[in-house]
Amino acid sequence: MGNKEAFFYSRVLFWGFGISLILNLTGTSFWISEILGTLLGFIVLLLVKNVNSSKILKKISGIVFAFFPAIILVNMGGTMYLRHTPNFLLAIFPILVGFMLSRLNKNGFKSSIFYMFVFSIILFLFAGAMLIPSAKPLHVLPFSFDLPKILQGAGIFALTSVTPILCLNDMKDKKSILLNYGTSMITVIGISLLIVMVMGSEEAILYRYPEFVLLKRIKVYEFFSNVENLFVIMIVTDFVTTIGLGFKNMNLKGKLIPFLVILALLFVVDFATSSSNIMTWFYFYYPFILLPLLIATLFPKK
Amino acid sequence: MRKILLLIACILMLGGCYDYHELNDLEIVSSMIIDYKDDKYVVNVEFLDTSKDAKRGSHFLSGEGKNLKAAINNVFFDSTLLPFYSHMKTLIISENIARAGIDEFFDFLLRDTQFRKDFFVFVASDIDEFLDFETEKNESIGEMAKMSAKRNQEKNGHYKTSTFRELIYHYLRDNNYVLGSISIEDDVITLDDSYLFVDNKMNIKLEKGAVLLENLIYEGNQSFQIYGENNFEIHGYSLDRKIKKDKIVLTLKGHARLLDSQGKSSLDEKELVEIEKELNDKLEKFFEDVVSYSKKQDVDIFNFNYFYYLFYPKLVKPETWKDLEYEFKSDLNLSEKGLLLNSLGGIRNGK
Repeated sequence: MGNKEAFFYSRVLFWGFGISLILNLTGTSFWISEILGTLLGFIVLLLVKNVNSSKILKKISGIVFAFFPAIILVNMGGTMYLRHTPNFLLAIFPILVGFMLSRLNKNGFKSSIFYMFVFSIILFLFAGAMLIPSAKPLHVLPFSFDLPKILQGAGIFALTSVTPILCLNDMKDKKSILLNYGTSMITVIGISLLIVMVMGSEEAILYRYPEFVLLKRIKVYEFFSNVENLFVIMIVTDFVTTIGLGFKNMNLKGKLIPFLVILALLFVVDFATSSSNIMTWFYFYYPFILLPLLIATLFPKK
Repeated sequence: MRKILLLIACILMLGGCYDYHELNDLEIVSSMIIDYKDDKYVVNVEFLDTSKDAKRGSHFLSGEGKNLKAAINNVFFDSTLLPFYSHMKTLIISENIARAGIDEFFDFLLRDTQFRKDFFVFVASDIDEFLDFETEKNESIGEMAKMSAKRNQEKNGHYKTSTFRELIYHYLRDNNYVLGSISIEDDVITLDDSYLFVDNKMNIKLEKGAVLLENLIYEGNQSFQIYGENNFEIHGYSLDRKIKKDKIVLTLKGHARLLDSQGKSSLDEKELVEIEKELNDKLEKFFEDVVSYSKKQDVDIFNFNYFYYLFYPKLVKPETWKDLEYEFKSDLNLSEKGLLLNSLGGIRNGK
């Protein structure tokens, strides 16, 4: 089955954060940034032989990668679907499911991840096939080339995709990691292209969750419409899986500690998502949180 | 013990969900009609009457306020029911708002996640006639207006209105766009003319030819008809755009179906080639006239400036579209002539 986990967490921060930020930064040249970012990511993954696997760093990265997907998912759910439901209640589902996932035995965990991978790929292919007729190549025009912004976008892209892999992985099965990273990046670039070709960059940069708005455009005449709720499972799967991997990295032992961590995470997620200011801050500055984490991970313990 | 507690918790939660609403408590919105009177927005929301004993298909509730959101809120001031906007089909705007500018409430409608963005937008000169209109059971103004506009746009191309999503598409690009007008005549919802909106304000009434070209450029149409000595239906077509530095070339490629042929003695191969040429020449002339009309009106009806900007962003100026040359090529293939080998008139005296 290989290391399918990398498929989920290498793209999880693109939903809600990465794609929107890169589109806002680079406009119609987003695709150059994304291709450069993918290449940069491949180079980093190829060069890295060992990662820092100190317990503290593992715990910190576990907290970060359980926290980010949880706040994005809760904010997205609260904005798009359950506008009147308290964020605390919304946070219970992904955090508990993620925690339960992290408690599965090794084989159970691997099989769950594999089935979720297959499910996610099938949904991606279906969604892509149904959106292609509405895609207009003209929307990637006018071609703009602002090198500093393109490079900045490529840096954010590489940081967003590579940091979770290095932080949540032991880098033992490199071939599988690279394969899953490649597959994951193809889906991210594919969805970004569809976002811009269907909506146009002017509209895409307007939305807080352009990937979700894109799914709303799936329509095959009148009989197959309003199906975004089905396809959004593809995105939710990424969030829940990464939260699970975050918990796994935290390696919580004992009876009381997991309970306290879950409770603390619920309160922190509730607090972060209760204010637009905080969410906007994370949206703009999450690369600055990932960067020190990446640097610390790149220096293995002697 | 823990598992038993978890099971009990799950069973308790299966009984219902947080903050749920019964379907019966929801009022399904079919259309919204907005007017501006005495410095206030007046919003009329049309709800479907889905109960078995309902005599009419829908009814209206009204509210007014200083802005659109306040007016919508006031609609439900005395109501115990919850509005459900996701199925809204139609937004009708009064002509006085259309002339003053309709962009004021774009942000609200786009930001609010309750509204889907694919409802049709119309302009109406007399709002009261819609409020007085009595719908039949299972009918609503919203649904009827949408279906009528969709059918006309797709099947004949001589009427055009935009969905809210299309309005935003053009608004974000500073483009001009078209909205259709609607009225009630003899107790029937009637599509009237199509109007060009410049700077988000109602500007000129468009000729049918201009409406057709607008539909072809923005892919709102599937088939249209051309009338003359021979009548045709054009279908399965595409309108390719080639933007060059000094000219825009539009090429219509696709299929034509001969609907009827008057006075042709035979429809042999030679005759069909001639008819095909006649059709293509006619269409080329037709579209040239439409662009001349746009220049005569001194408005870039079809947003040629925007298309030019996509390819030459550094060369474009506000009046560039006027200086460009336009070439139309019609490359339609007369692929069907129906059941008759010759024209009916042509064989009547044939020996």
